[in-house]
Amino acid sequence: MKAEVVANQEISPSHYRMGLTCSGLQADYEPGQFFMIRIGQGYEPLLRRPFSIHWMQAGYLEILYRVVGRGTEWLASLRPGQELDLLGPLGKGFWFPADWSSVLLVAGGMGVAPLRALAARLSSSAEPSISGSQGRQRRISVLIGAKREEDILCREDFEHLGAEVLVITEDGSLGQKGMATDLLGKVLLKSKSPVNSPSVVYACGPRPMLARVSQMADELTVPCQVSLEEYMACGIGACMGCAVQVKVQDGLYQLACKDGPVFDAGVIQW
Amino acid sequence: MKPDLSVELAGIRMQNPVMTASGTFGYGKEFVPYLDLNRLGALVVKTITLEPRAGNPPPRIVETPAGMLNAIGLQNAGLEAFLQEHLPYLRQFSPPLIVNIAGGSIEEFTQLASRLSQAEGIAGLELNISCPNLVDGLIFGTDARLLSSLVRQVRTATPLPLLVKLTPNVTDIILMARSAVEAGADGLSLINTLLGMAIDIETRRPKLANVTGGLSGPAIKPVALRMIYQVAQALTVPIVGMGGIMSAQDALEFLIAGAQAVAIGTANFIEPASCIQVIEGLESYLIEHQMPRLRDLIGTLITD
Repeated sequence: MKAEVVANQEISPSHYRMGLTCSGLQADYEPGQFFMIRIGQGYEPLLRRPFSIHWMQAGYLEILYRVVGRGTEWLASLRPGQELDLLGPLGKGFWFPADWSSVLLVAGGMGVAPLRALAARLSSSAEPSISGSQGRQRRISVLIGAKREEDILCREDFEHLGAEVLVITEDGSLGQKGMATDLLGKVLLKSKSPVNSPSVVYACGPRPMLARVSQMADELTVPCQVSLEEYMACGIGACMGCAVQVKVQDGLYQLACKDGPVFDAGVIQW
Repeated sequence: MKPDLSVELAGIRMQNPVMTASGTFGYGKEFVPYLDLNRLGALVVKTITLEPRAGNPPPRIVETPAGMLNAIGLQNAGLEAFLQEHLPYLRQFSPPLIVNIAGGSIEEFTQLASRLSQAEGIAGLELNISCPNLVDGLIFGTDARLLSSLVRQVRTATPLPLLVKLTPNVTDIILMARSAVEAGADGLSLINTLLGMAIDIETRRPKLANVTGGLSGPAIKPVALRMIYQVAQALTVPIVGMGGIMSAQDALEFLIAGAQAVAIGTANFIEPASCIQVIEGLESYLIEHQMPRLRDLIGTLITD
């Protein structure tokens, strides 16, 4: 479906946030789902590119992207008023425990992209009037790790949603030096008693980071969901390109586009 | 007046010449949200093997100039799962269903063919003798004598129309085509993907875990067209033309070159409703050129 670019802002060097309007967009999506975007109209580049939902409401979609190649270069060149072609929303998103007191969102670099939509959904369900949880305090903590200060994205967005945000960079430019998993280690250490441990850990970022997050959550028997990124051609389960190796018996791969991109971290063969 | 797009291919009657290429259309279900499957000329589903196959490790695909390489490795749930889960679903659609099969031995091919012939709702079989991503996959497709004995034995195992999908990774496509036809193939599908490769210069590793893969997309269209033209000139056999067809204009080239039908492959990944766009484009072309029947266009290339 055709969508119109209404904003395409460089929020940090090489990082863009694009707003799109399209009457076909529905509000009832799952955070973690994605869209396949056609890059231009020609055959070069040929394939659509997947982008997770950064934020969406009826008629409006936001994506967050970093310019890394021809596809994202083309996207960055678009101006308000120009059109592009969307396919989606696709895939299976994050799911929510029936009851929760605190959740941890762990992002590595661009991993913040789907986590903002997730935080927004969690935040709306944290309001006592909606959740009916008798005003019990629900806490959303977001841990963001990136290479440098300018790669830490969306900090204010998460704060506006009422989340507690902790950041760390590999160059130490914001105080703490290290990776998102180092932050996670500290937070989990503090919440060592089962009463304080998070109800769920949600993570998105580079695969080695996700593997480590999964392992750390597993050690504390905290449920963990991860959003995976794989090369894919179609996004709808036909090309079978985005194979994800899982720990199930039948030996077949699952597909990031159809069975994911969000998976229970425990089923992934890291 | 609406032009007549119908064609008959190896005894299979089709309302139009547009088919799906095996391996690019799943088992149909994935595409139901995007197009009316009943409008297709025929449905060709992803290759099935006797036993389930896990397929190759990722990364399995990589984009290349105007194309893509894939090395899926025929991931599929096997014959039993196809018969129990996919076939009952596929029966609800009216276009003829063509089942693509692959085996590691002649015996596996004949078993598949005979089991599928007993099932209801299958209009034809397509032999995948040309998957470049199997250790032994290319052997049947590149050895004329082996190909001949394979087709001969599958022929005795099934009364269904039999298509043989040829690989372009051979020196003489006519030799392979002739072997298949003389051994009893009712039609030929060509071409399968071209064997290719891509390298990441930073890591100096192949971009596909399988190292090599099959090239598809607009990049291979001229090669496909040339092979179809050569085979159509040399033999009288129905041909399903495929290889980089993205539009009705592309499809028309294949039909003019001598293909009785066309299959849409990689285009399905980019535009799930590609087949419908091609069907509608063919219709517009016939109206514009005041041709009442698509059949009259097939093989009308002028070379003088």
